[in-house]
Amino acid sequence: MKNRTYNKKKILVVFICAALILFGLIGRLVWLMVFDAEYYQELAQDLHEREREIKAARGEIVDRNGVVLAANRTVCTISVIHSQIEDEDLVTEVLCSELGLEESEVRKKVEKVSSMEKIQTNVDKETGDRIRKYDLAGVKVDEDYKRYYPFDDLASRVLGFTGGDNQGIIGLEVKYEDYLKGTNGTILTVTDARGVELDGVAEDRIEPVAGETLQVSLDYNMQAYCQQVAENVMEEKQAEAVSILLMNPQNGEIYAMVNVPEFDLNNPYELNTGVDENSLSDEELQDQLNQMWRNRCINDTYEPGSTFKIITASACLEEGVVSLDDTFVCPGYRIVEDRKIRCHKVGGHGQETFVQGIQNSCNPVFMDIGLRLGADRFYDYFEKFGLLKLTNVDLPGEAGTIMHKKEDIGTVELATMTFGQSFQVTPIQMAVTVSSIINGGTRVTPHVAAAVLDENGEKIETFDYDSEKGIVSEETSETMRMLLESVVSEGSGKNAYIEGYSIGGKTATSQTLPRSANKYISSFIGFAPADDPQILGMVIIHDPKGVYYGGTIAAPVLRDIYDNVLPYLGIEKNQTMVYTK
Amino acid sequence: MERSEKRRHYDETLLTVVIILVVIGLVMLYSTSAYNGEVKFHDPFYYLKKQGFATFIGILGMVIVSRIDYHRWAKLAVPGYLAAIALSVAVMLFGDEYNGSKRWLSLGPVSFQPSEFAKAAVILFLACLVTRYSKKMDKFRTLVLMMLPVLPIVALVGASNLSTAIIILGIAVVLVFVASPKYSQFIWMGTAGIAFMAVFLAMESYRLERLAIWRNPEQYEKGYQTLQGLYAIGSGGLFGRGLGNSVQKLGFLPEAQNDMIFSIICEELGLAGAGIIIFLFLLLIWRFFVIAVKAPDLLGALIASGAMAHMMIQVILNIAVVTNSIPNTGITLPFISYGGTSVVFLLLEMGLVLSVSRLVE
Repeated sequence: MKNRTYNKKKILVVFICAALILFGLIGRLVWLMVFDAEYYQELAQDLHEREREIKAARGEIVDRNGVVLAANRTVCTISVIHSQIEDEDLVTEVLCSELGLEESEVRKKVEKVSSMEKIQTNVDKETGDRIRKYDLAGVKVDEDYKRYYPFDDLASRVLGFTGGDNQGIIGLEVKYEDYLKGTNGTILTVTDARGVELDGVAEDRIEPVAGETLQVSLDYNMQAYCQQVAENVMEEKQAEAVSILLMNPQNGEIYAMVNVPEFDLNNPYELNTGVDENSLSDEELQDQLNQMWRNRCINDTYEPGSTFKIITASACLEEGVVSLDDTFVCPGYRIVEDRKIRCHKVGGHGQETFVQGIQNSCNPVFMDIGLRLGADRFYDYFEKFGLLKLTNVDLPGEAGTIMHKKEDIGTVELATMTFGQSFQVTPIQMAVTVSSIINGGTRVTPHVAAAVLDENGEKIETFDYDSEKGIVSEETSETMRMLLESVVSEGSGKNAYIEGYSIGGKTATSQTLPRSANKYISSFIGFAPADDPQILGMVIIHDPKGVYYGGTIAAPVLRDIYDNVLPYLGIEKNQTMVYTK
Repeated sequence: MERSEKRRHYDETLLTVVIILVVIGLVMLYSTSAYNGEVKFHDPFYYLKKQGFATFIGILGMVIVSRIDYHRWAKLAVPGYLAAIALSVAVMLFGDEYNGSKRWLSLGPVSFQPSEFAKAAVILFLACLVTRYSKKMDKFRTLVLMMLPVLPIVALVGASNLSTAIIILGIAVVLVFVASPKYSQFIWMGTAGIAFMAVFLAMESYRLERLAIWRNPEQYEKGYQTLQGLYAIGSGGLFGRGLGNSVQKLGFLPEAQNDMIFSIICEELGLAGAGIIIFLFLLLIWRFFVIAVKAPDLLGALIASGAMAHMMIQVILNIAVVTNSIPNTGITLPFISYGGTSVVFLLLEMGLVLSVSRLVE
């Protein structure tokens, strides 16, 4: 049969159809690959890319002299990727011996078909490096940062610690989280459909930004010394706890804040009481941990007792209801309304001047002057001194003052308040209020954080804190410094006296509630040099056994501290004793 | 004497294009299948080895067939046709099921896809049949008579493999079209075909669903494969990610070495590479056209036309599916998609066309 012309024509028709359609498809491809490309590429990228976070190193915390108080340690996470493992036995063997794990446990993970299986986290860097050196296919060693506190329990409640995601939990770590945490980076890797990362495909990497360094006003040496002293006295007096606070009364910088027993910041979930965590229910354990993490200087209130007489005296002097020469008689008690309120000296102090009254810490004297002032004015001064406000210390969880309502203050309440009972304040509140009285009337904001430094130690930001002037007049302030100096040189605070230094201070012994428990808090607030206070210290001993008078047990503690700290601060002995005759 | 002179007159362009396509096919098949081979069989060369073996057999067959005068195959047209029917029945009864369809016959270690054989058998059978009745081809009755023997095969193959049935039907229509001197009948047939398709699609809701998936592959779970193919194509851009660098083949696009291989070509070689491959197919079809036009007799012209129809239908449908220009249906890309039987019979078909080309005036 012949291949006719019409056959050829038809073949041409078929061919032309095919060619046209193919050109149409090329056009479709151009459309997809040029004009629609971006849309599909984006979708494909979303599908292929896995985001992996790179933790940022947390900023360090350094003391005023640059001593590192909180640092980071590189730790490793060891994982296996099943599909990439070449020699299961070798991998199992190496991981077991390096990590000290049970063979069966490791083998199970090595043989498990999953995209990635974690073998162990928080492996120290040396071990991680050793495992990496084996260069085993399918074994991944990822570096990570973990918070590390070189001095374990030093200033534990001030510094605070971090949790599993390196986030601050308590203390400065949480307060300054935004500065310290840095910015995590990411690695964008391309994976196959099973989530296995592809080698040789360029990964997008956003580098993490390390957190900034926080410089604090704490002084490692003072903090460490105070802790040691506190531990000694706690043991000696078998006290429940001892808190010591050192601060600069002129600007509010806190040099040391000790609450013994401290706890180990590197193991913040272990109780410092020696109780086995396993013997407690989860709830009990959490309760006890929460108790352990409390900063008594800030989070808890107490009845300040006689140290509060500083404030009563200041208010009365400021208001002019008492002058230094006024005389009082102390029979050992005062009858207020129907109550007989005792002086700590049972036999009474007899006749005494106001100056002697404060030296003797005589309760009737303060009841008298307090009643002269009256409840309204007393309350107004209480408020004016800032006692009803928070100190705004830059640590979390500051407790407020527990105080009577103004209209509820009767004569009895007023009388007990004059010597620091029937209301509660925090130790930091006492320290700050006393500071404002002795520094010329400026209420400072107590603080720990001083500045933010970059990685080279250059200051990026210096923290400014508010202060409020005119709390008391310069005159009253000077009178108070003189009076308190005489308390130490001649009165109930003489145990804090150091030859050659002028130290002002006031002792206190307060009974805790319930009174029937016969538990006491002995405390002492002292400052030096008395004419120009550079440092204010506070010692609080909770529930000491045996002698519990503040003058007897708390004052010597501060003396011991000042004996070392004053020379350390460059305050020289034998300055002119302005007030001592 | 005339013959001996033409003895060496293979269509060299055709042969070259076939060889290039086969080589590109093997390279792309390896690139696409290495990951799946590693994952499923722990052997990246698994698919390449099987395809390579089939290609070797196919080229051997092609060389042999090309040396034999195509007129001698006419005797085998009817037995071949009957064998295709028998095999299609056999696959329905004893076939291996894979991915939900019975398409393979196992003969020891070799598995065989009868539908691929059926395509070649139909081309040969119809070419012979039409040649015999060529004088009556202007009658509508003859057209119907020509189509009738094809229908059993279409039905048998279509039971498990609708796409291949459509290809076979398409080849048959093209052959009859080429043999007939008229046009109007085909316009009627085309219209009837479209109407039939509409009814056919509307009959089963899942077929309509396919249409919906085609329009908006993002919104359907079953649009996954299509969408993944589009991701691959879109990721290619002008010059692609580079050979071997496709990400979509890494499990995102399931069975990337099969029907959707063209999308991986787009991803790795870009618009340029994909364009070149389409161009090679066009070249191939053009050579079929030239051979068909120049063929010494109607049988040769119809064999070349049949091969052309086969090639163009498969290439067009495959690329149209991959680019989501038409609803998804499983059609492989000749020479490139994975499939041993397909490669063997395609190459044998090429041998047949080459044999026609030897006798070109």
